[in-house]
Amino acid sequence: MSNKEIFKTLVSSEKNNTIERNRERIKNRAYLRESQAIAMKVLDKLDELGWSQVKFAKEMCVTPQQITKIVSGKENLTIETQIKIQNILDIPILASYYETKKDVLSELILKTEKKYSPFETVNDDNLISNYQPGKLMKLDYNNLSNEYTVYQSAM
Amino acid sequence: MKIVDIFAEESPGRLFSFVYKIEGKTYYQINEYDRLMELWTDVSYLRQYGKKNKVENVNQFVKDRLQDAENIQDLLEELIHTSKPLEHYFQALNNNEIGVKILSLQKGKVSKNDGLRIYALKIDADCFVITGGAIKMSLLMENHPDTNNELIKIKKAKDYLKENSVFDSESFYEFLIETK
Repeated sequence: MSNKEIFKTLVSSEKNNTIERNRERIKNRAYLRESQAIAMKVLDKLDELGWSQVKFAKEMCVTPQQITKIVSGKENLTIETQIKIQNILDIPILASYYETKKDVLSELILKTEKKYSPFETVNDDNLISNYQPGKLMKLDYNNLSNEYTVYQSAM
Repeated sequence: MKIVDIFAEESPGRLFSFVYKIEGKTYYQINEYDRLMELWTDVSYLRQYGKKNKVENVNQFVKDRLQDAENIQDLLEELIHTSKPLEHYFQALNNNEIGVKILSLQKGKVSKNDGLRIYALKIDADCFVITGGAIKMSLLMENHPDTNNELIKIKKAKDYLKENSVFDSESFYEFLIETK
């Protein structure tokens, strides 16, 4: 008997699904990568907050085992779970995170513009009467000194 | 310990793996390839491993190892379907090893930058049995407790095969010379 033949007598006949599992990992790669990225964000934030996974489980109203699954980066997380993570940890997971932030920011910008809008106090009728001239300046480039010479108009 | 054929379903007789009992228990864990792949795709495990080993940029370390694991998965799938021999992945653990050596200690390495190692024994051409694996953290296996432990495992596995009459050709030839 050759070495290989002797070796084969030692091999168990039990079935294993290694190829199948490997194929599943490749097939699910897109969601697994997303899940891994979420797990990294969650673990970073937990470190930043000084939270244990048990505390996070309590905040999420789930079991610590479920948190273990989330931070392993192997779970196909439901949208509901993603929203919960996003809201509790205030980390960007879904596009809605930025959209909400954008809405708040837009509202703030609008309010600011409204408050300081220069057009608000100027009516078409009294446009000329309200006109306040600024300082006029002229910049001339001097080739010798490589500098601009400033001429200011008299006010 | 026991051995299973991990390519059995589609390309039998090429890639095997040892299965070990959990320490202090009577039952077996999953085979070494599956066990390692479970660990190497676990963000929390990789992060803790990086921190424990004082890696400077832990998140980058995690990303790199996840990528390495994907590369191994792809190569394994490729090796099942193509005529490429397993020698395409495994190479002698000892870089100075010359010639054919049965039960040679082997390491699986996808690329030069691969940070993951699968260890195996070569039974024959295109025939290997995985004994374990580890994240490569030091140049020499002896210099890190995990790789050092893998070195012990691979030697134990080799002894097991020798005890069961799977010859190491080198010792066989040594025996012939001694008896001359």
